[in-house]
Amino acid sequence: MTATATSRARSAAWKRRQRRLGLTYSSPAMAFVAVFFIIPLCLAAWMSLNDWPLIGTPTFNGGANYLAIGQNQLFLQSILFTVKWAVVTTVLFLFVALGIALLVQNARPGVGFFRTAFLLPAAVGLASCSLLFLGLYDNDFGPLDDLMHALGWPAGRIGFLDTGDAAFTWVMVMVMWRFAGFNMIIFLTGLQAIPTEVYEATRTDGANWWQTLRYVTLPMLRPTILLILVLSVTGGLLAFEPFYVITQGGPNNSTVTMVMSMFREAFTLFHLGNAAAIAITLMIVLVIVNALQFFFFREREERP
Amino acid sequence: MMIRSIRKAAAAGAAIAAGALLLSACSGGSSGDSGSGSGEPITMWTRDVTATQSQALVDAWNSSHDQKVKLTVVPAANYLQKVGVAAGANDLPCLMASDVVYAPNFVQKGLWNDISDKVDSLSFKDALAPGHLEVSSKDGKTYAVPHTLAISAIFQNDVLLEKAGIDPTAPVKSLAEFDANAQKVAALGSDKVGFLFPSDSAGTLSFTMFPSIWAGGGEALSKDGTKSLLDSDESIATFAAYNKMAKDGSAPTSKTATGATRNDVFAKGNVGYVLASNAVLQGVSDSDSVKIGVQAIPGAEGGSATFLGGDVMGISSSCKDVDGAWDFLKWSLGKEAQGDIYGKLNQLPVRSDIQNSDDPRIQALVDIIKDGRTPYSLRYAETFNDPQGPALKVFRDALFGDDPAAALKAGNQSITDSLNQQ
Repeated sequence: MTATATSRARSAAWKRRQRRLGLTYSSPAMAFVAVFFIIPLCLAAWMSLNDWPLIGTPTFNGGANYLAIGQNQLFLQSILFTVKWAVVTTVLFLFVALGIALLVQNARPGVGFFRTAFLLPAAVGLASCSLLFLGLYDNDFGPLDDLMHALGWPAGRIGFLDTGDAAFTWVMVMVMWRFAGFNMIIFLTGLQAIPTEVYEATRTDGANWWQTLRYVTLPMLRPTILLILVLSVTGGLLAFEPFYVITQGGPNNSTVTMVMSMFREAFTLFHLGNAAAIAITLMIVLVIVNALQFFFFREREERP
Repeated sequence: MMIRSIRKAAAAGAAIAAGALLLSACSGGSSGDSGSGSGEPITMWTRDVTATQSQALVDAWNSSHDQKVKLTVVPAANYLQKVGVAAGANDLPCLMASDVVYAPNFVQKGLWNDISDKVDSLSFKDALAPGHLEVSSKDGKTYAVPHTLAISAIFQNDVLLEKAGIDPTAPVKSLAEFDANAQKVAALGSDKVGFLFPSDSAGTLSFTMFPSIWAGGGEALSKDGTKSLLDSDESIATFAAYNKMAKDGSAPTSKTATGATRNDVFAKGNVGYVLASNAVLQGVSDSDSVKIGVQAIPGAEGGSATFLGGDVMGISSSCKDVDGAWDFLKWSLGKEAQGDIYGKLNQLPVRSDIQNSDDPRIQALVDIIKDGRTPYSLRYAETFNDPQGPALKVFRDALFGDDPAAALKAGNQSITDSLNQQ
């Protein structure tokens, strides 16, 4: 009796100590999250409820900044473009990254070179990368159009950025170059996690390449696909640098993303309150979109 | 192995980011430290387009003075952002230059100190570029002085013009005549461009097209800068002339150039005309295929005018060493700076009583200044210079659409709205 009580008390003390220890260990991370995420987020939320000029004192204006979003033509226009961009990049990433991951999946001579080559662009900062392609796409000084003509592209000006659609396509090419290798690595880790026994079993059953991909590889990659979906949908909806640097939103505002219109609100018009309202709205939408993706991709219980 | 290299890359990335933070923290500290007494270095910001002149001035000053000036060059496109953020933190540099079209806004926001007494004490005050002083003043008080003068004009390649049978010394009297000449140059060969015309920046377009409106006796903006008058007859005539040039082959089809590479393209020798600022004379030198000529921008049907641009410089409200900053500012307007230093750079003096070059092209530019104007508006940046501002869309609709007059009439209100926004 006393022995049990003592041991219970001891175990409770142990648990308490464990909890304290856990708190101590995680406190640096918690402090980091608080300083760099929670506090700025609260500040932004407070800012979004104020008329907040850059110079001068802010005044509380309730939800006026949120109502103003409905009148912001540039932002409303940018929604459709950004959604289109996010959808197209995500679909392309899934195909391109999975494709090259499958190509370099198995250890073969020279495969290390290709893995490195595909991943290398991910080491270039996105802004520097955008600048690089801005130079490549320049018709007066860039080498790319000359190169393409030399390779048999029909004569005449290649207007990389002349129309909204052309700009969309060529910025997409740059983003693929920059990110496909990174997504490939994520796919590769997913692929490596599939036990070889499963493949051996399918081979014994006489499945061909396509059947293996369709019924073994893809289902077992579900968590990886979800990760890439979340990453590229979020990245796509928050796209900024490529368009800010390469197209500046042109021609005729046809490539303005949501974050660009938010940036303009904050740093060209200096309406910090309106920009914060856009940021908070965007964050809520992103949380919902990601929650939906988790919901639809969750591991379903095996049916009996 | 791959994972390890990713980790390594991530660690390297984190290290670089931390380094960058540290660096920016340092520079933030030093830019705020404007010096409490004389002897401390004086901080100074200019935008990249005037970097050559500013750097030359700072180098000359630092080589002969104990109190140094520390120059930071900021990309023009990000200048207002940087100033805005620094102003919010009361961390502006001591000497702060500004594009002359932003000056009214800087004055209204109180970013500069009142230096009326100091400017009034200058013996050569009346010789300072009057347009620059006007936009830097409010209610009889002066807040900044001219720093550089950038005026818009026609720069032509005399070699090509002669090949095309055009007398380069004969002044172009109208945009129609300009168009005809440009077509003759374009006819010289498929690699020849009659008129190089960057059309993806409303700031560049207003700098080169407003003069044609003014030359015709019209106005681009109302005097108080609150109303767009771009639907006026003179403006429509100007845009119609450009619209024709974009269609008849005298101007190339490129619709994406902002003007940033204009001078370099001109230097290659395949371009007949550019409309640009006097920076052409600093960036391009004569060669076998290029001989630069200068003349004034004509109106649609005659007359001529220029956009008086450039930079003004004032002493910021964050500055703790106003007298030290003024010493430099005063020196920068003196004979050595405006005469010798600017003269060597082919740069126009900001004083009408100084002649710093025998170059006939500089003389031609100086003659043009008297027909110069600077538009006044508190909202010039977000209306004209911002790529997402309303002007660029209206301009391009008028330049490349079927009906310039309808496009200007339809879009004029959006420009007026932007000029009046809070």
